[in-house]
Amino acid sequence: MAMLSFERKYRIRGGTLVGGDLFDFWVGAFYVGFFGITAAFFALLGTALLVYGAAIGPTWNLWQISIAPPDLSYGLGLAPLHEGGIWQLVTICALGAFVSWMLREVEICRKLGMGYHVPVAFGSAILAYVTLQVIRPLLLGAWGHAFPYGIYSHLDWVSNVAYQYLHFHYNPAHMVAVTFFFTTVLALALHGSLVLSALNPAKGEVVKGAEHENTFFRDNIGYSIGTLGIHRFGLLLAVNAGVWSAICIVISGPFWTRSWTDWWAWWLNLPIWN
Amino acid sequence: MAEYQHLFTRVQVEAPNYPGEPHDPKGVWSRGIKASANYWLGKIGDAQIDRSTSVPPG
Repeated sequence: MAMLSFERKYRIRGGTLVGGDLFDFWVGAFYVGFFGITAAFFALLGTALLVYGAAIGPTWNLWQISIAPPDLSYGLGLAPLHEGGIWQLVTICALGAFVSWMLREVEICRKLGMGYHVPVAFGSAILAYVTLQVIRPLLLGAWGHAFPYGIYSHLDWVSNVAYQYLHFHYNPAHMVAVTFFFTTVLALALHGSLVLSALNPAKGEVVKGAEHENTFFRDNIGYSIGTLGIHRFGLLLAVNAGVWSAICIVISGPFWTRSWTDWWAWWLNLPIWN
Repeated sequence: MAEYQHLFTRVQVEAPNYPGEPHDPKGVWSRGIKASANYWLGKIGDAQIDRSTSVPPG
């Protein structure tokens, strides 16, 4: 793969966390490193296990293939391969791949002398996954409480778990998480469209910069957060979306087992209207 | 490398408020600004908050 003329000076030795110089090389555009090897290993093994699970399953219909966790009766033990064991191995592979990917990002950051903002942000997505598939099942006492790996089956799981709490949308942490997700989308849409509008002026006009972007938002809503601030704000919104997703699911079951509408009884029982 | 790890602005510069780009095409309104700086907004982004960005004709 071709390397751009200026790329060579950014391909610096060192900064690795594990393995010293042994895995310190690139394959085409991609930095490898120890964690590149482990990421590829876990991703390929996990995918192969999913295909194996599909092969011994009842269907090749892509929408209906499902690799389910063990029955609740297995608790937190290891299950036979064909009765949830594949799911357990796939989950280990997924965790290995996600964490490897994050640590590979850390190594690239160290090489370039950058902050760790990207791997930290990715960590919030990993946190949400770990909370769903590891922490909550551990707290509830069975791997069977985790979601199955399948396009329709995981959606069925979401629907089913939501109805266990009657009205999941009354979960206050879920409300916060959803709000962060939608606000992330709004912020990125505003940011992306603003930058594109400054870079694509009318024919014959010069490209506009940050002054025009600031002036647009100050005319529009009286405040412009600025070129650096929007990226801090976006990071804050997106990381919070992941973190509050984790919070909203980990409190459902381990800390609250009834309808989420009932949780609001404290509001109805406030002495103001009683 | 700890100096790269901060998320919030550590030193805030006090400067005149930015009045905004002149209107184009030019109309009867002109740029004139009533704005203030908010310290806590300045921690994450721009501190300037505008109460008005343009003055009417006359």
